[in-house]
Amino acid sequence: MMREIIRTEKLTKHFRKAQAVNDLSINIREGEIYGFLGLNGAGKTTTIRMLLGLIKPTSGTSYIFDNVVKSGENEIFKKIGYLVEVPYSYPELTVRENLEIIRLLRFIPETDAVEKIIDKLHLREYADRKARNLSQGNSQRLGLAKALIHNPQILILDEPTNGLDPAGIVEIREFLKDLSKNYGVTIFISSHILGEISRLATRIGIINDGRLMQEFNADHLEQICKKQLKINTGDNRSALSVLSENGFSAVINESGEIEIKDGNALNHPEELAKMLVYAGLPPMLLKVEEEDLESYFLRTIGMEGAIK
Amino acid sequence: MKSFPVSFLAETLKIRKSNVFWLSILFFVFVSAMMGLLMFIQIHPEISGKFGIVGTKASIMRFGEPGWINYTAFLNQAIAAIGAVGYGFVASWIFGREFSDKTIKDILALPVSRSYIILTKFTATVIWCIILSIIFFATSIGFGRLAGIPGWSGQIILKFAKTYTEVSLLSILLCTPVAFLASYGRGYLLPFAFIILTLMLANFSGLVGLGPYFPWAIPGILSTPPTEDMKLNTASYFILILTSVSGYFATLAFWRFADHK
Repeated sequence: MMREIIRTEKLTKHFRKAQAVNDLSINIREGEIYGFLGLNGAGKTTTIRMLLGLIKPTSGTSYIFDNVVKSGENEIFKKIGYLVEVPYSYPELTVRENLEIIRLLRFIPETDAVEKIIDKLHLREYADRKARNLSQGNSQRLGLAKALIHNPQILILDEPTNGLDPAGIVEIREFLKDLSKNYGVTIFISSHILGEISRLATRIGIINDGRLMQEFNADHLEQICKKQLKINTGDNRSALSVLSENGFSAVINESGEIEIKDGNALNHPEELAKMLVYAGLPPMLLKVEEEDLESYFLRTIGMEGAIK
Repeated sequence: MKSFPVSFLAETLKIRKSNVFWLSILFFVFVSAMMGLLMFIQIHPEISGKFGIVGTKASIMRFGEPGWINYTAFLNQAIAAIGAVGYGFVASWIFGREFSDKTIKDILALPVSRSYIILTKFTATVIWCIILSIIFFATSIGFGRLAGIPGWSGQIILKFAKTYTEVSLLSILLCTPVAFLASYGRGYLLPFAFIILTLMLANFSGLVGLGPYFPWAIPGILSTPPTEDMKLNTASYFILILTSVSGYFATLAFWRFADHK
């Protein structure tokens, strides 16, 4: 069994009367990429701040490598790289100087660590540019460079692809996958960009109103996501009768299309097509619609837009 | 590597690269130049008209006979006043910038403990303020010499240096509550308002005879010759040191225990 690297036990945080995180218990194992999904204000950033000791939990505990996370326990932070929300840097310092500050504060003895991370994050062209003059995408890269400069064993990233262009998003995604796969880095990544998480994470947790709603392995997504068959003919009412007579439970949805969730129909849509053709109602549309992570997420948190 | 030296190196890098550091030096040099100019105009009252408002001001402000005794007394009072503002500004900037630039979250979850971050920030504040004091001392004497103030003597300068050092150090010690307010207020607004308030209260406490017991009035009282009504005592120094120590630990506690949202 793989070792648990990050663990929270009934983690709870109240800000006066507002409940930001409630009874959150998660386990993240070595080498996993844990996607933490939630809407804005769901409690993702508060959870991350508690994992980093920036906020004290009202109750509950966070553990990293079995050590309780507390503001005075600095030893564990040697192994963690992090990026919380929008990354900010000292505006009048250059990219290189900003990284040099982090190198010093992280006790990195190798003086070339700054140059290496500049190359790794493709910041060479901007190394002598002041942070205040960087684009949003390059500020994000600088934030990631600060999180990665010490080759951490754990990465805690809050919306790390914000502001990156599509090529940058793919590059960072591949980079993170490589870190996890080839270097065993455990990654905790929060996002509201579901497509990004579905492509990257090996396990996914969904948080809503501060509560963990669902937790599943990414490769099980196909099994837990709903599927349905959609049919459109010249006369859907007659087609519905034909299907019912043949034992299929079907309905007409708000768009006037026929919807079937029957397992047999989903596995053999060609049989239904044949049946409708013989009845003189050839289908103009016949497709198996599979719920994606977005729809599954919306269904889990009870919002409109999900497959019903 | 030890926490203090690395943290100190990082802090000095931030300070050296900022415009604020160089602007603060320029400001202190400018004030000392103005002091010299005021004395020059007093020595040569016939030219006051040529200097417009500065000349008028110089002829209104009389510090007794122009000479090194009166000039150095004037400088002691000046460092008490501009020290309260200038040193407070330095502390506000060193601590408040982390909140204002939103870099605070980058320095809270590191192998270097927050206690060391605070210690190095206060060390940097003290060193910066000492540099400003030395610059003000040296340039004021330089401009005084250039202005041709009569009555120069090594004895006067030695006596001046002693009082000047005491006034400067007491003013620097009062930076800690400002640093706390910069942290608590998460920026510059609250400490700046506090600096203005302390200046007003220092004057008021002097008027009602409580100056020796109000920390921010104490450097000013020390900078003037003691009178029967207004002189410092042991309690004055105790109150000032207690204020400074409280400011230090309040800042430390805030960084250690407050929620950093």
